Amino acid sequence: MATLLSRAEKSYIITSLTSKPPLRHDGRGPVDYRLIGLARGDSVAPLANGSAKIRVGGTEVVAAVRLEVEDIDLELDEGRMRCNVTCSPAAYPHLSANQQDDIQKDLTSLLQSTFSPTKSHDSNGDSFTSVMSKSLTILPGRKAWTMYLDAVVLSDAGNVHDVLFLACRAAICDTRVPRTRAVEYAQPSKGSSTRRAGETGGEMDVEEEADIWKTAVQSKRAARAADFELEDTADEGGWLEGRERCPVAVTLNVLPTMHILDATHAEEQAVPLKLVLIYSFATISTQKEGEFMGMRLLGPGQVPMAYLSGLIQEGETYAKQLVSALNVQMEIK
Amino acid sequence: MFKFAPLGPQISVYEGNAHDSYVNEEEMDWDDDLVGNKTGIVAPGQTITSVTEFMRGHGTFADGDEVAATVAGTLQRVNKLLSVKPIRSRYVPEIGDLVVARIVEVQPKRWKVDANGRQDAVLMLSSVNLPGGIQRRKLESDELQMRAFFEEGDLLVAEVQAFFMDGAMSLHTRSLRYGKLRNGQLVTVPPILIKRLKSHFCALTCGVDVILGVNGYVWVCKHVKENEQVGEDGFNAESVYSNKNDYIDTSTRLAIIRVTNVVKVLAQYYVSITDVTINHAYDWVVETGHEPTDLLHEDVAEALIQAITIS
Repeated sequence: MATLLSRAEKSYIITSLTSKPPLRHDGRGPVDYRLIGLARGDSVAPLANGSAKIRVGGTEVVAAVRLEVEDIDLELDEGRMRCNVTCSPAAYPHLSANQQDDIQKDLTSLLQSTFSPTKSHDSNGDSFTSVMSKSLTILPGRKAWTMYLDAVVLSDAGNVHDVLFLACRAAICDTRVPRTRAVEYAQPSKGSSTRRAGETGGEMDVEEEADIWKTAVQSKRAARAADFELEDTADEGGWLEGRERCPVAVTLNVLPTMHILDATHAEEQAVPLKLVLIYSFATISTQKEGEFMGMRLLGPGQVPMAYLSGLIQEGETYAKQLVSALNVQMEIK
Repeated sequence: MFKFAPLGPQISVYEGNAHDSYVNEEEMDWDDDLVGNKTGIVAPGQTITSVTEFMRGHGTFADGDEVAATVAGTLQRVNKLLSVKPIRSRYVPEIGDLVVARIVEVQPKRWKVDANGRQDAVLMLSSVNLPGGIQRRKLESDELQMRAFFEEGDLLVAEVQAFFMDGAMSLHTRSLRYGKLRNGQLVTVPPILIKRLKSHFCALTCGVDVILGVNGYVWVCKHVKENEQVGEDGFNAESVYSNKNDYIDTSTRLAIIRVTNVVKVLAQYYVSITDVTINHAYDWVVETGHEPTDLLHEDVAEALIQAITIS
């Protein structure tokens, strides 16, 4: 797709959108999404802990989550998340390398700022990021999973923010965290040799086994644990805690009288203002409001403050519907 | 509002009947040594022939003593020269082709134009219609106001006039039918789907004009009546180079959307795009009472392709 639109094309798109009824160049309604294609799991990235690929129209994003063990400080105390977005050169063939870098950095910072836990605005420790990072802790104050979230924009035919967040959400929901068990070196009550606490040997007597069980449980909190071991192989494990809260983005392309969702490349260029809203929902079933996690206003256009609050509310409704549609696909209740 | 689907291949190539292939079988008396003598379709690496007397053209390589294809496409033979025309490639221009193109840069005395080719095309200031009469020499004042004719992003319809030494094409718009495009929208399709026709300006029965650029850019716009065509009675630069759209009513806009979606579906299933196929498909959509958006669904699109390729 070409980079520019002629003035006649722009005015054709705008006039069609503002006519009654509003018409889009492919006949969709203003808030209709294109068909969302979803693939996840081993078919996308077999070596990742969780992965997903989303295609909306010609926009395609692959996201993958990889967990790695990291030594952490006592103050930090919990797992972290590192986000990175790469744009395939084929996605923006008309842009120079520097311009592509800018887009990558932009998207990376948007993801990173959304997903990294910020203690300041999260007073009760109840947000998605804080719940998630707690569940990534292996040994408090010593070891934790670092979550590497990598996304690749394979092609961009408009609405890249929404697709990026959808792919990331699907990948995070697909992630399984390997179960771990803390082990410590304990002086056995009988005998002289040290033995690993998590071990279960056939020759152990019942009394000793009970002791070991106790130490293993206690060591989770008592910072005496020396190391940890995996309970199952890498493919297994539990879902990430709080994964249903993982946020989605909804982009409203704002015209003075109306807005459209899921704009194509041409529409994005014709419409002067884009409003990216990022929402997280605790549970869809309850009528609880979503948590507002971020917002970006892109483009040269302007919007009055009074109008903006209405847009944000509508954005929440769309985000809620999008999340519930995705949850059905990801089998999240 | 939000619909999900399992992710499959993006474009499912339509496996049509043999008569849909781009090779006209009657013109070719395939030697038995050539593969694909039914469809003329070859895959990369596939041996085309082991007879050594053939010459290897584009899209082929010597695999030992055999000639093999480097690309997926249709086999073409001119006397002893074998070549494979790729299914997917950039537009390969020929002189006289009608193209729809977009200005990317304004340079001294020329415009750089994107025509979906391997290189940007060139439109010289001397090969456009200048205001105040068709045949006149360009002046310095014309050079200074080149953006008044075409500016970056403008779409135009032009003809391939010549080639430069490096293979870039030179365009011209020295006809009243050529020039700036307004009142419609662009669809991009693979260039191989646009055959070279008698006329690429098609007035469809539904009252929509379609310009089938051989380079794969298709312009769908409001119908302009023959006698209302700009510049018929004397050349009017203001209206030829205007950026303003005419008033277009809702039913015309809907028809434009329907034609756009029909062209997209045809391209998705790799059916060649001509005024006949578009008219046929459009009639099917109207007859079956589908909304323009229904064509975005796979089952409706498949039914459409079935309907127009069988008859």
